[in-house]
Amino acid sequence: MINGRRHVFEQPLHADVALVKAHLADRWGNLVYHSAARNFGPVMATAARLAVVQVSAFVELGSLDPEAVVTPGIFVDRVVVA
Amino acid sequence: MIDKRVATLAEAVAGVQDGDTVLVGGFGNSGVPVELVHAVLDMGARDLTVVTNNAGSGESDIAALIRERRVRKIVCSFPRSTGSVWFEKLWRAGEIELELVPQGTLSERMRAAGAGSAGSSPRPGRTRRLRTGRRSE
Repeated sequence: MINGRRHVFEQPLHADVALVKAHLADRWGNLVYHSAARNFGPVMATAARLAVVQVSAFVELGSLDPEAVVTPGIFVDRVVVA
Repeated sequence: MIDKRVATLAEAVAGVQDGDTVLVGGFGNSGVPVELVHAVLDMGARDLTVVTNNAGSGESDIAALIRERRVRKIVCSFPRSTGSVWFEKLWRAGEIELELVPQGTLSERMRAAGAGSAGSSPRPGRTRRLRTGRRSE
């Protein structure tokens, strides 16, 4: 009961692996996405023990605008171009 | 030096095991990591629990995983869509388990996991049906 209303308790959804598609990554795993293709990517990368990301291309470290990075590299384990 | 880049799809999905819970991004055809899903298919992992928005369509990616009997259970918001023939076929045959989760709740449950939270109450349980069999207080 919160503020007089009943709520349903939902369990957190942990996972072993997340498979995510992003647009660009640097070697630290910082990610930017392409428009609506972002969808579940950022939240999935945080919820799995192993976050694996496929991107269109790698970019040099420092070339992604820090203000534009959506998923910080700390949530990412592996990045591959596909 | 931190370098998370790997050269091949096989290296990217190395270590995925039978019985794993796998989150797969994508909304319909947008943002699906098609090549990574096919890499999991190629490496042979089975008894997977797949968490994703749609239960696949056509013969590609998630639909292919389902077709090849790699998915024991799917947790999703929209199991049926145009071309979701393999999910429907296995569902009717009782060969795949479905946990239907509304989209916002699906996203919120993963957010809670990522935040290290013990759970969350993303919305009021307004109907008896929603509360049936679940904790509500």
